[in-house]
Amino acid sequence: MSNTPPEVTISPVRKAFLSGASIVWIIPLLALLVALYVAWQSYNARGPLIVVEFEKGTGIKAGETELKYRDIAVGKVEKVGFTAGLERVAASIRVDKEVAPYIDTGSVFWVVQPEVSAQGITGLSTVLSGVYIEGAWDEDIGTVAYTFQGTPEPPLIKSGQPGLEMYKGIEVGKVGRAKIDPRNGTAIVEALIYDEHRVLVNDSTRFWDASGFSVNIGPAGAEINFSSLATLVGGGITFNTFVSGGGRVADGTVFDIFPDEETARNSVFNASEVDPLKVSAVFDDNIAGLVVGAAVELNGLTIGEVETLSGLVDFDQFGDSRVRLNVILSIQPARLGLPGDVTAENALRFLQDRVANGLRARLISGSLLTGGLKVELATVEDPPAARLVASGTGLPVMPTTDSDVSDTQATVEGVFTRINNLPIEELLNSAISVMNSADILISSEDLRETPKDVRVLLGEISGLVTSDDVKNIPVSISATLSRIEGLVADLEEQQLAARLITAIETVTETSAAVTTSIEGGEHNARRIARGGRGERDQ
Amino acid sequence: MVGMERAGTQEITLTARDMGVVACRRCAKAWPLGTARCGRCGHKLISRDPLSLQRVWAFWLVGFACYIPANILPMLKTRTLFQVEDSTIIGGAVELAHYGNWGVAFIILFASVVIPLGKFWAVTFLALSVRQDRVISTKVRLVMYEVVEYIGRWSMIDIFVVAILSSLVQLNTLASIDPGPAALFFALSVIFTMLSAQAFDSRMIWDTKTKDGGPEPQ
Repeated sequence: MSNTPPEVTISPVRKAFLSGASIVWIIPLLALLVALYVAWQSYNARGPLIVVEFEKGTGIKAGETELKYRDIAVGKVEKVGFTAGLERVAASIRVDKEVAPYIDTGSVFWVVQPEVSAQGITGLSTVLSGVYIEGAWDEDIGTVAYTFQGTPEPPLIKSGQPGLEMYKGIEVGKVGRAKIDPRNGTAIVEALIYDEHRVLVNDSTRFWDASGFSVNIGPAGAEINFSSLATLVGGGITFNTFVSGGGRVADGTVFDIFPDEETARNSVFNASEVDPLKVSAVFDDNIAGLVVGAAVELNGLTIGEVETLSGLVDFDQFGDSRVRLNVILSIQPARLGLPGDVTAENALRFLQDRVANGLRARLISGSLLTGGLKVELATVEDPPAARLVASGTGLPVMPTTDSDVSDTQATVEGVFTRINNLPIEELLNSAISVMNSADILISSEDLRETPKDVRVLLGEISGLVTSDDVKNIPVSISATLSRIEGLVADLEEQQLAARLITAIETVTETSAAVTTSIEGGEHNARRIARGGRGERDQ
Repeated sequence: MVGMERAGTQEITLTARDMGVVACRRCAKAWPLGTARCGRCGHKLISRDPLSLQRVWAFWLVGFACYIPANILPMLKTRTLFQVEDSTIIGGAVELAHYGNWGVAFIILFASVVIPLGKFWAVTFLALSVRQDRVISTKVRLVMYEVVEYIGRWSMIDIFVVAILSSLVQLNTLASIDPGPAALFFALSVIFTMLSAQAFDSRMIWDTKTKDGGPEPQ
């Protein structure tokens, strides 16, 4: 045994520290580096853990239930537990790092599960895949939060909640569930207007309840109102912007809901803080039917109302002592829809301009049934020049024109008069006598005999037709025909045609002669006639 | 040393080094100890590889490190119509056993758990035993080494199962099986364990005895 070679190999090992180490150690070192890198990267890419508390944890499973935002998974439930005291279910959700900053204090979370309601079926996909948690947050990065309270039901943005928001019968939004405001006890309903319909709403917009239908019988006649079948069944809210010039509304603006369109419409004007423009109008014909509160209309739009009514006798102004109707009109400038500032002065200027172009006040019938009147501002053709100006300290005086109401009433009265004048009784008497005569005729014995006579007649005809003579008629006819045939053949043989032509020529000549003689004859005839008359005269 | 009594049978083994020769590991020709290169095939001649144990430990470490995620991470991702299920190696075997496939479960457990763990243990034991007193006979250790070398490749059976399943079961939305990240780690683990076993210079098995000063009488 020789120990020499190992001694030789040992000495170089001592010379360098690492020369005894195998190059293979690089592999575990590399593996360690890779592992560390992967660990660091996955830790770095890991988003924060948020906790959402729910009332119930229906279907939420750790490691399976996803958090979705706009139907895209952005996180996963890592743990499902309880809050302190087992009060609520706490779902710990690991959210994606890119999304995490947006999940701020304003975020809402709810559990999406299949739901069948009158508005349709929602969350159908979760039947197979299991429930998921849906989150909603805005596009802005806000205050960071890690604990959230899950809502039992989806917020309005995502929901198929009952109630519709209708505008001119088209669904433009959704109405959420009504809640009671604890501060003042009013009901608050969250409503959402879809973004494409946003322009329809401004701060002069009024909302009203369009549920069901209303029947209204009043001076304006009978009305049955319902907005659409959908709201008739499901209820709804509709809105309209009655006047122009409203400002853009921000999210979260609170509107009042009025019980009906009428109230909503009126509220626009009642709510306007502008003083009404007051003008007076003097109507020559003092007609009953106009009352305080009657509408003042411009092109069919109610722009104000009659404020006071009084009689007016002014000999100096009108030249006689007739009692005239002095009406003070209260006009809401806001209802005119004027551009610019909504003020009484502005409205007055507008009306002055219109008056110069022929605008006049007149009375018209508000309702044919009740005979109520209203004041209409209408443009008449070729009016006498007039201006809307204040006389002294009084109100501006609106020039008036002949009332339309008399025409209407005259027409109606005329119609009634003519109906009245119709000889209805005579007509009825004639009709009665005609019917009597007819009755007598029908019930007379002769007429009753008629059917019998007809039957006898028919029997005789029948006998005639069936008689042998009649039956033999065809035979005689055919015999006659054969004889005619023979005759024709004879005629052809004797070349009758040529003779006939000659005969016709002769006839023609003869007729020419006859014509001349007729001319002479006419003359004679006239003479004869004259002679005859002369004899009569004698 | 005095620990030889436990060996039971007395072995009288003469190593090549004892005889002053070194065998070429490529062409098996014996040369006198100290010859640098094989005169026949040109292969480098080393009587005992001094870096062998370092390589063994290096590969063993990497193999063992890979074996941990291979068991923690999912091996198979089974996606059916309604759900996605991840199963680890042991979880999958347990599930198979649960459904009554005891045979398959046993094979998977044996190939994926028993064999790799046994290999880790065996390589550790062999690498340690060359430095310490013999605790079991050199023959047993040689057999152990050969078994480890031979059986190591069969651990890949699990990888084959995953590969075949994931290529066969691809029914689009209905069902599909995909390999999980554990498959990669398991394959790496098997590869590094095999490298580790190969790096072991089996000639060192015999050296413990020579350090004791040759065969010891009873």
